[in-house]
Amino acid sequence: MIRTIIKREFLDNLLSFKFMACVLVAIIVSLASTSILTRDYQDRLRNYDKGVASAKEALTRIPVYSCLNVRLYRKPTPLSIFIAGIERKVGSYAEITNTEMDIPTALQGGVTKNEFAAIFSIFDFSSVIIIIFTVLAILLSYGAISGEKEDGLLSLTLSNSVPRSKILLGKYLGALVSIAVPLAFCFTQGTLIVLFSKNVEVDSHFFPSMGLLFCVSLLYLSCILLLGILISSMTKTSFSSLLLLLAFYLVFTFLIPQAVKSFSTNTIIGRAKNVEANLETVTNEKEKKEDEAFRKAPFKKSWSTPLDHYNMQLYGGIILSRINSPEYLENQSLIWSIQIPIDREYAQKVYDLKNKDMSIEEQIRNGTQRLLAFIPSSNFGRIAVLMADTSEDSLSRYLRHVALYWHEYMRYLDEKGDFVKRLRYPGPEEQTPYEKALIKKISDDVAGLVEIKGSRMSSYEGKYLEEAENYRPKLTFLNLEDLPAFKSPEIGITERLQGSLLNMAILLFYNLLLFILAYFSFSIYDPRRMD
Amino acid sequence: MLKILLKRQLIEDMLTSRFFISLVLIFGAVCAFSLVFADHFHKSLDSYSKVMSQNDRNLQQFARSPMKNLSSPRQSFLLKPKPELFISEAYEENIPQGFLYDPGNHSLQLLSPKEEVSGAQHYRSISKRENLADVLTYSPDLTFIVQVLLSFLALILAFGAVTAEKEKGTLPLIYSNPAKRAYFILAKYLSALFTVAISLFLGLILSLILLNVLSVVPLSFSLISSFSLFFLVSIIYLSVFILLGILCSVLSHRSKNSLVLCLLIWVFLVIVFPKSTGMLLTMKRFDVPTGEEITQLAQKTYNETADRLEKQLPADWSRMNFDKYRRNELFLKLESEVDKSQQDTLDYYLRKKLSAVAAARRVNSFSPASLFEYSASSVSGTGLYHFESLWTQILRYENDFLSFVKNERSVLEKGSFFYLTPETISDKPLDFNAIPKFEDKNPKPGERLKDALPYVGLLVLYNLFLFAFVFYKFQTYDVR
Repeated sequence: MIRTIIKREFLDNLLSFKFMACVLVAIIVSLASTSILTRDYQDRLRNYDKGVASAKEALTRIPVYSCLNVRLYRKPTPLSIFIAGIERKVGSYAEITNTEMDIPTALQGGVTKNEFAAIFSIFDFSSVIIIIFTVLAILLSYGAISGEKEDGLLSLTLSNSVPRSKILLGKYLGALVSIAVPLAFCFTQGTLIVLFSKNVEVDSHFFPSMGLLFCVSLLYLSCILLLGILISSMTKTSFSSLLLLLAFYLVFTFLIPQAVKSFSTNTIIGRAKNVEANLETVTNEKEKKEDEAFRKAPFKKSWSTPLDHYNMQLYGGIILSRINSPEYLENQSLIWSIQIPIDREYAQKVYDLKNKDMSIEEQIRNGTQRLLAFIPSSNFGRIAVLMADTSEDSLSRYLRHVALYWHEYMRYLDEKGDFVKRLRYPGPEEQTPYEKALIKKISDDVAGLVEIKGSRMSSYEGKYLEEAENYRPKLTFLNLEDLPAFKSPEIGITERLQGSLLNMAILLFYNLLLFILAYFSFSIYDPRRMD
Repeated sequence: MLKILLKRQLIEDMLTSRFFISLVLIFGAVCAFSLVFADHFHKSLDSYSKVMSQNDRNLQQFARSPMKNLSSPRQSFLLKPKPELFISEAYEENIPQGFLYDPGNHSLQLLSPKEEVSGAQHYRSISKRENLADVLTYSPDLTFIVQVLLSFLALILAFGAVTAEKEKGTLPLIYSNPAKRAYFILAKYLSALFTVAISLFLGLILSLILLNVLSVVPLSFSLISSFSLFFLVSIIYLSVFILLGILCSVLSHRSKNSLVLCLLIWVFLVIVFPKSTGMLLTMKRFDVPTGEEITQLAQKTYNETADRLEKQLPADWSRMNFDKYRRNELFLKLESEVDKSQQDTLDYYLRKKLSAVAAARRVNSFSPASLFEYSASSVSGTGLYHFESLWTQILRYENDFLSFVKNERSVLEKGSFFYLTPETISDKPLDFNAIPKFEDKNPKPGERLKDALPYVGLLVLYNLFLFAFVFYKFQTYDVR
């Protein structure tokens, strides 16, 4: 019997105008959104590939360890085609350098082409479900009980020897099947577009995540259907149940999430000022400490020549000229032996400060999310980004790994032995005879000049300057095969499930609760028409 | 007769629970939004004035010793937060926040949305970071309330105009009186419009009071004029949805069907369509290079122009004897052309970006909801309109500033061409008060209305068309 009811419901829905209209709009919008976001993903992937290739190429042309800048590119996930999350809007790489000893707390780069496009929204799969499929679910369920009554069909159905629970179940399942069919169609269509477009690499998380996404979408829509049936069994006319459902839709899909998010955003950015002040104190402290340390340092009188133009451009002046007095090298090594520990200490301090701030922000954001989890549509949106791993959590996980890698990178530089090898120029033992001769010539010249102007370290401006400037040393590049590799954190499907367990539980709970309520409310429903 | 019908309908509309529910919704939304807005507005205004005072400090330094501090008249021109943002935020915080003007290099550079402005991060760029997560963005402002909530109320009030009367059986009764069909429809329309207008009016008054109480801004003529312009535009917009509701009612025979039809139309016109046309911007013809690429292209133009123009210089010119030529008029002229070519490239792409966005907006003109959004943003002078007006004002200011410095400078030894370099100005201190200062001014209400006219005009056309259609359809409606 239940099968008959399901079949009847299904066929009934399938042929109605509202069903056709909604499904048509859903299919067109999801088609457009998938193909456009696929192109966007291809852009990002191309950017990623190019970035990785150029980063790899750059590593083969590092003359000294001080120029060892590592760019860690974050691979875009193909799931962001369906659930955009924040992935499109954050940058594409984190950079670790030896000169600016900052532990990265944000990504840089990215492929924003038209900044003004930000005034438009992007319709991704989750919004298709939250906006269009929800309306479809409301339209399929608002008349389930009260509508039948109005048509006089309810009494007829009940006159058969079918228990009310079975009728309810049949109606619910019928509606669920009729909504599952277009949903499955949209999912298949999207997946096919992705599979058949060029340059899209589908990773191992793709299919299980899509499957789970489909299930969760169905769970969410079933929640709406049950709400519709419940309200329909509580009202006398289908018309008033529709009105009530629409009010729910408007308030819970647009108004409340909007207001809650605005409040939480305001709380988060209200704190930004404190952090800025704290950062300023730390920076001042650092400068003071540096000044003090440098004042005490025993610098020797020395001279140096400027680096040739070519290398200056290539390495941004990080490496020094090879034509310098030995004292200059000693001074430099003194500078860096003072500077590096301070730099590192404060890099950690600044990072801790920022990290603490970010974790508080995360707490506020999570609190908001937990609050919003009680609103089915927001809850569904949250589960979707968790499943696709395009949420803020995914970004902060990545950044935490970058911070860990920073320590590894620093350890690697430490292992590379003494300072002279690490920084800026080769030591005296690697100098060629020509270089030695030139240094000797200039040293004699400087001695002849008697006095090197004012400061302890000055640049040489004597008669051999041109020769020193035009000297093109042949750079040898480092072999960096032992550089620790960065492993991008990836979480499997089980972790994703675990992360969204609470949200799923709430959704499931809603389903059960609404079903039980609908059952009770339907069992005492008066099926007679009031004519 | 029209009066009686109108009175009857008004009483019916005002006493329904839907009217009260929507009134509560609107008041709740206005209160919540204005609380959020007041806090946000104060903070962004603070941060804005900080940047402006940094500009003043830079100018002061420049005035003290123009020649030495030629790099310091650098100023950042930002979008000034206006109280009108409460009417329509128009995603103003998502677009680039302004320009960096560097007269020494003759450059006017677009600030990227994330960029730091004079040391401190601009408050708005921090707040932007937090809004990344939303896929469908709406700003909490009055436009949202009218565009989404009130348009829905309008449909709800109108969808049963004819069908409900028919179901109740009152429709044939009305016709037994000597009432014209046109009057009947007109009464329905006017009453619904009046009901919606009242709730909107109350909401606007409440928000004006709240803005005043939360000391966002004292009541002023310009604010009230913005609010009244907004009210006008809103009424025209809501009228479209009332007519749509009546049309649905006329086209169907049961109010249930009419409501379903209304709902489908509403979801499509208000949410789905306006929110999906932005995707057009990914089309090939709207493609623009990334910011980095644009900088490179500008640099390339700079180099090319420099190479081309260097040929016009005397044969003994080379980068090495720069000193000899730094006061040469021809050289300065060429130098300025080189700078200009770089700036032209930047401007070209900025214009291209803006026109791409404008094209996508033109497609959106199909939806009355977008028409309303754009006209609301232009009558309040926010969003893209604000940006465009800022740009024009900056260009005007650039001229003023340069001609001021030109008049004050020591005259070049010979020639009349002026180019702002250390060599062409004297180090005589300038009067700081006389230096033109930039201020982001809101255009006059008349100008803002003029900007909104195309959109408002389309909305009015929509109204006329729907009205004619409803009238025609109802003449042949079967009242039984």
